[in-house]
Amino acid sequence: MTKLKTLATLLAASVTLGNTALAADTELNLYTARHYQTDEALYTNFTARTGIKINRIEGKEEELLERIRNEGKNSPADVFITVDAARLAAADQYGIFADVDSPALKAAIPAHLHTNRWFAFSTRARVIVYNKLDVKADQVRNYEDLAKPELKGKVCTRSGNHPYNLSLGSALIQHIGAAKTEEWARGLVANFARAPKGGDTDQIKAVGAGECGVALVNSYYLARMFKSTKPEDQKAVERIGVVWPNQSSFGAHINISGGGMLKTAPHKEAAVKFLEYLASPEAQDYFANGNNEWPVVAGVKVSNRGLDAMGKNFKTDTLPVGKLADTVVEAQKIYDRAGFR
Amino acid sequence: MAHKKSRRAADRHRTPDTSVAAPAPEKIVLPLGAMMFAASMGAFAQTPAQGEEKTLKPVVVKADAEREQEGKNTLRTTTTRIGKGKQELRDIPQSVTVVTEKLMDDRKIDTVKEALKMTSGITFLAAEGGEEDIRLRGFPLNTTGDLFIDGMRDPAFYDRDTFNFDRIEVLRGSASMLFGRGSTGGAVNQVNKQARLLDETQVDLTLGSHQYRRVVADINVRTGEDSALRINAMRTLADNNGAGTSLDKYGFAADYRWGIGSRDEFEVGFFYLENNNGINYGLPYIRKSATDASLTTIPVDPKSYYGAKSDYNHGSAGYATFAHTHRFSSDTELVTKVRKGDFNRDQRASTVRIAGAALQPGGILATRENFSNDTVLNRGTQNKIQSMENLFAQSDLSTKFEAFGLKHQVLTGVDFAWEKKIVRGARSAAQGGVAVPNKPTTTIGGGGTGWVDEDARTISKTSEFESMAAGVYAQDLIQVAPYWKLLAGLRYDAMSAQYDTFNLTTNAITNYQQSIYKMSNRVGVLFQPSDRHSFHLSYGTSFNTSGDTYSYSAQNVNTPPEKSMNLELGAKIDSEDRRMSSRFALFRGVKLNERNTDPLLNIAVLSGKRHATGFETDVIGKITPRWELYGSYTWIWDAEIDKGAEGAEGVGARPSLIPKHQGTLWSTYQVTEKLRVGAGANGRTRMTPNRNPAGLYSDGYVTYDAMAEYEVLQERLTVKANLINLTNKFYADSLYANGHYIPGFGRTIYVTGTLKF
Repeated sequence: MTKLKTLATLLAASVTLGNTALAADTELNLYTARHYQTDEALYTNFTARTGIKINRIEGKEEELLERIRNEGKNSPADVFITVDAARLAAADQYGIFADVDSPALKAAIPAHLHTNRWFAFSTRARVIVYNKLDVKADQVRNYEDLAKPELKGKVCTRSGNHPYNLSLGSALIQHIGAAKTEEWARGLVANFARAPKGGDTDQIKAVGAGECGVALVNSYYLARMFKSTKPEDQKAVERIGVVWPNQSSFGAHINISGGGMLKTAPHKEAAVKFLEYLASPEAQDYFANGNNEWPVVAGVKVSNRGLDAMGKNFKTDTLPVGKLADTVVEAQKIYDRAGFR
Repeated sequence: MAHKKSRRAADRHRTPDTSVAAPAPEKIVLPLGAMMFAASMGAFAQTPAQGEEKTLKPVVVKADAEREQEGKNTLRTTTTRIGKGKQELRDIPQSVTVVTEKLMDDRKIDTVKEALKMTSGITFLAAEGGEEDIRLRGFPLNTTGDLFIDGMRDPAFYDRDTFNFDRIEVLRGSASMLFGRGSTGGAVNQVNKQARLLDETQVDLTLGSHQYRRVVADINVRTGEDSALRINAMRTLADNNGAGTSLDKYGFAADYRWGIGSRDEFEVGFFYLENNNGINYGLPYIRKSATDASLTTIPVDPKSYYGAKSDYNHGSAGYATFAHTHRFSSDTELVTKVRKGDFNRDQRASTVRIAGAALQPGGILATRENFSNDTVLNRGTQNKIQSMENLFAQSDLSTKFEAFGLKHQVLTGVDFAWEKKIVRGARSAAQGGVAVPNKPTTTIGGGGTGWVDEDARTISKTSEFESMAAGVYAQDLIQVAPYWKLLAGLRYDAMSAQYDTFNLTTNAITNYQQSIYKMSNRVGVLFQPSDRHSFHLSYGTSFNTSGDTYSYSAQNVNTPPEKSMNLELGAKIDSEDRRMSSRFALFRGVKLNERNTDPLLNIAVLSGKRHATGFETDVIGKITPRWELYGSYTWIWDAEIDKGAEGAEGVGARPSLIPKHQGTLWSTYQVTEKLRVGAGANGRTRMTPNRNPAGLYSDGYVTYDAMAEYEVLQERLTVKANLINLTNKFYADSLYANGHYIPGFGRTIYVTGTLKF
């Protein structure tokens, strides 16, 4: 079985390589929006395992994408890694990703977490946090609850323009429809304790301090604060409760970190190897833990005390993340009309 | 070349957040569309030339995004509990330095004494009876009860271990308004580890020089939605701590919290530490030469020990704490704590001195010039057996509100203390005890030989001190104008104490009693033009009673408290990216009416005065994402006894134990994602021992430390090596007059494996 798998991988790699590389690649050029300490080990292990050296450019998501576009067909980039499904989908719409026909990848990564051209390697959830003194968990069991009039003056969130909120809005459109999503967005805006500002960590601290009663935040920010020994972080997380939203309906909205091979990649063989490596159990641990996320490969479990502190048994949305891009523009329009900026 | 061009283009479009660039509202706000538009325009302008080689130099171009800190991974902190209730450091108009657990781990620090060396301005007195005192800005800390645990007094004498401490906070300058009696130099708050809402276990195993073995387990279990249990345990063994003292100690601490973060939160804590250590009571001074009677240190290795084999320093410290927090709102909480403590210390030590000429080889006076392995040492007996019980209760209310258009941040509370200290001594044969033989002499080459039967001694109570004290305080921090805050606080203390001495020969009991009623205050102005800048000017007072040292005499029982004041102009400034914090302060501490013994009346009168004026700075944080720095420096250019009794440490003299310059520096660099290295130095210029013996100085010194840490398994297993005092510099660390000094640790190597799961 293993031999068959290897054969299939090699076959896929050779097809992907086409005429661009006849000899085995010895290096890989990686453009990544991730920059976590653990990634170094990830790359070192890959080099140790394959002999392929990784040259990498780290930068912000939009900058890297723009750079790839600027470099055009002469781009040295082989693999592009970024966060957020909508960003990956946008990159895909530029046509920068090549098809990767890797049975290994498709077997390892659940269907709703990849397309033919890009793959999720870790997931994060958008959860609800509430101030224990101000709000009861039962008041905020669902994303839709944040629009209830009883939470007037209590809701905080980062900008509606941010991909994390746009992805959530996009998912809501697909689950409850555009009309209800707009109604929700209007209710959400009406409940704001303050105009959207800051990042998710700022929302957590504001809820902890009582400035806000409830907020929408990504799981990895929370995990990071649960693990922190800074007195100010501890105070914040002790004052808040965490709700996994929509457990009786479609589940908590998830987003991803992921990447794909570029059409113009000069080292296609190495690129596929690298993507397959990211789906290996060892790499999954590093990749997910590095940013306090969950691995995507079934059976791979990480031991992350920050994530565990939020609870272990929860239901996540199984909507294919690739479909989030279908309605993200509509989500933006809805947010604009609702005044969620 | 193409890459450089592209990067510049990217830089031009760099946005401050990871969010998609937000176009103008009148244009359609479509992030994806905006992104595509921006990218395509960039591509049009920056398309590389045909045929350009598609290679990438093997250079990692790092993004400038900050690597988020987590876990114990920080030297910098922004809040403190040292001032009753949790406060922003920037809102405290006094200097505060926080020694975090990260710093203690990085520099392999096991004891509070060593941890305090991580802040400048602190020196140590090897006091009579082994009751080592800590001096801050030259004023006593420990003997005046200025050590605290979680904001409650920790006055007993015991060798404090850091195994259960999350951090140690040092507040400088008079602050009786917050702490009651004492705090002339400042106060030290030891912050215990608290149970947290996650499952986390860490085990540290260290092996080191001199058969050093230490294991510390830190287990945290989330037991429910809002409850958690934390257990810390420690065991340490070593033949020598690097300064002549053997170690044999263990500790256990448990903390259980429930209702965490909710309306009513409860906490019970238990702590126990047992020391069965040896004791290097100190090394002797020696004459410089036959013709020069001035004294100097002996040229030996810092780890040298010349006490008797029967010497020891045993003791235990145990306390239980109950705390309740009621939160009226997110801004208003009432914290009530009760602690009962029980402490014992049984010290059997040798006062080591250079023997007289008659006992030296050839009957020749021993001097530094003829000092050799054959130089003979006398060992006197210095035993101190004491116990302390205490009960503390305090209730602190903190709240924020607006009144008359001004924002107020109020701290107010009451506290109560009952303390009882018993000192015991050995009866001589004439007093009905056993005549234990004197310890035999030894030589420099012979080391710590000789033994006497300490168990044979008949121990009896020699004195008993008991006191009741209560205090009430209130402090308001008022936002009086944009950027300006005014702080004002008052505290009223009442203390009633009695002290009995027991004459072991006559069985006579002498009783002393004293009652004190005293007001203290603190005022300060804060100017905070931004959330990164805070400047302060403050004035605070403190008072020290004759009973601060848990004893009275006929000379001082009727002497009113000494009064002191601290004037400080300071600044706390954070870098723009918040990675670095710095603190600066100009200070003047004055003891306004120091006790001096009137030679005619033989009573203590408040005729003295002394001051210390200086500058302090701390710089803490990350210079780059990989380069971290911790520095603390004090310069006391002016310290003097303005008024005082005649004598060596008299008028016009610089008070003892105040070096002119003192500092500590520590820096680490993350070389690779797995390897981190660090180096640091501690040092001070020369200073005099207590009593300012004529011509005797403790030389200045600088010691260097180094560290390398390798992460074997991500977030699970690290191995760290520490090299302490790498040049094996000999320096006198704790000083006692012209009698003796305890050296700082000599060169020691430790290797620590840290396992997390």
